Amino acid sequence: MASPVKVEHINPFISATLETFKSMMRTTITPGKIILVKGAHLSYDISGIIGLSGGAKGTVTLSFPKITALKTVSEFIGEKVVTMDDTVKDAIGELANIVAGAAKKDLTQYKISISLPTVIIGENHEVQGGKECIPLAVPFSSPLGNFNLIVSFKSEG
Amino acid sequence: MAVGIRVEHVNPFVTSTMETFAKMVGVEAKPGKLMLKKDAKLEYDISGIIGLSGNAKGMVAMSFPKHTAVAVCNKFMSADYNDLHRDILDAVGELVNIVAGYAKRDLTEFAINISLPSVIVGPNHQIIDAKDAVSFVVPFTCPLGPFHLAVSLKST
Repeated sequence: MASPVKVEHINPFISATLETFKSMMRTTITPGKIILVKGAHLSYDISGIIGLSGGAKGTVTLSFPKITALKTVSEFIGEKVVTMDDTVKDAIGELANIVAGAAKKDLTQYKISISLPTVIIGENHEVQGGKECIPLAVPFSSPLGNFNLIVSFKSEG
Repeated sequence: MAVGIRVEHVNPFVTSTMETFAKMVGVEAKPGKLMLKKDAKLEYDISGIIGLSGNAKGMVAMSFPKHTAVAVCNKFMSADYNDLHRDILDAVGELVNIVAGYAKRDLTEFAINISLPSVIVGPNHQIIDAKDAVSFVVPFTCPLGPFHLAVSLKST
């Protein structure tokens, strides 16, 4: 039966996102109220997705409106980007990778290994989960714009 | 020792897609010619994606035009939806989960673990793979419509 992600499992991903934006983009971001992705119709222009497996299964996704993605990547690479080119796609995948890697350190009991990043491009796409686990979205606001962290996580045991 | 990614590593995913369609959907899915994804700009309405990790990392995705997804999932679930209802999304996630689960048994050399599925919905979305991975696409046809299987792998 599908149940939402537990709070203790989402916190490491929130901390990892805060840390990543602070160290990589020198930007303070603010997490908002956690929402259930199912039925929420949250849509984005670009998403970076990482699969998690091992003693737990899950996904971590960073999803951005175009304008936030461009500003974030400009800050990340230290060079202004204005179009959704390959640099932006690679950088969004890399950011998801960094967040997943950082969160993994706080979830060592699950011996998690992470997949390669997959990046989705498409105006107003939605990122949903399967029926095993209902993903949670954490809306973040920042000087670079709004974006969402989406996490699904299911410990196997 | 890292193993080079070869076309043979995609075969278990092709076989498991055929098996899954035969057993779970009840139709014959025929694979077309395997392509290197490289610069192809492929656009879809709905995709189910699973991350792979272990001695190889990557992802497997099944991507559909809307009409194929609805027809396939209706048959899979014995349902009668007209649009991308929430249950169709769940079914796409479940199908890719079954395909990845079957395929990993035949890729023992990589000791692959699979993630939970993500389901992407949005007209004309594209899936961009990690640039250091080798990415293949296999177009399939079935009586319910065309769809694509994509596999992206990098040995670690």
